[in-house]
Amino acid sequence: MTKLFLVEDHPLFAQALLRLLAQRDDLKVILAVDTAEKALQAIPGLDIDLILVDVSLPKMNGVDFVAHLNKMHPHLPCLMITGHKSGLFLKRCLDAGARGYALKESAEDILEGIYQVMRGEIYISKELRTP
Amino acid sequence: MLCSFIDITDRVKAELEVHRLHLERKTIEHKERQRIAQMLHDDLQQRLFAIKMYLNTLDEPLQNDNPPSTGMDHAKPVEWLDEAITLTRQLSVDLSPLNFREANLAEAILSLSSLMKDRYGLDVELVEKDFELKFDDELQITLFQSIRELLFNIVKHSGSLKATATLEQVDPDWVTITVSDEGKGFDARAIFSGKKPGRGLRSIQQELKLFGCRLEVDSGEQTGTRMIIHVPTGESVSRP
Repeated sequence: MTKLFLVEDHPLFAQALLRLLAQRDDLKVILAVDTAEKALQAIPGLDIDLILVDVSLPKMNGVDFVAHLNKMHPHLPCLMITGHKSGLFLKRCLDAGARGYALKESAEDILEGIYQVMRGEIYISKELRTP
Repeated sequence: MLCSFIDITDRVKAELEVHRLHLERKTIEHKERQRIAQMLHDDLQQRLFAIKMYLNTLDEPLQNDNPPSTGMDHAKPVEWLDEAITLTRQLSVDLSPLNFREANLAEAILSLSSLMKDRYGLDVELVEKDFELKFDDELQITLFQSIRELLFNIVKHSGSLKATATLEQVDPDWVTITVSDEGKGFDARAIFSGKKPGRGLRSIQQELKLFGCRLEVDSGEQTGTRMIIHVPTGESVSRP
């Protein structure tokens, strides 16, 4: 069972994603929060395998959150989930230490991202891979 | 030899002022575009992602108890779509308040009053006194945006959720648009002199000035506020 932590500020999207993840018997969302600040506060007390992080969070954004987390918990992988299809965002996230980048519009992308990152690989959304 | 000098100080000052107002206007437009882009990305797009994802999940049963099933599976995306549709309506009003381009200012204010009630609970009463003018598009949009900003200020600062917008042809050359409330009032002089924050109000004043309009504010503690836009009725105005 992979234990997940979700950091997503849009309540509807969080609700839909939680439902998607609840349909997988090998995935379990331990906690969901809506800001990077709450996430940083909660992480020390959690037993988790992977963090799903929205790129566009209020106050501290997802990229800064991952960079910060990478210093404190370098072995805790993050999969970015986003609506941005820009290569620039992708690069910024990977440079900050994210292990994957999946698009919110594709449930398949997010699930593939989770499994691939958990196998220790870097995941990049199919749409953003350069041929 | 005969020399003559013309003092052009005033003309240069006026040109500089026009240039400054033009830049300020561009900045306001840029900020407005940013705000709308942010609404599209941060809200509408997220809702659409959520609906798509939710629909993807409808055929499969939940494997674990996270989150608990509500038993209203098909109702949720419909409800979210309704909210998304409402948001697109709001965005279209924000993008082109006079979508309504054919409408006159009074009709546009009526649409705005419905939006202000829905979004902020503000009751706006519209009073028309001998007012049947239709301004040209650019002036009408500026007047509409100014009125919207003034109403929004009432929501934010007055402590009152009742406002009145009065359109009046005061004489053949001038129209006044008065936005008033019975809220707690504020020190307008301090705002216009820059002693107190109030960039929104100052921007409205500058924007209106570009069209030859004048903003007058009559406000006092416990006496409410009357914000009066004086609009010259010149070539920019057409009569129905």
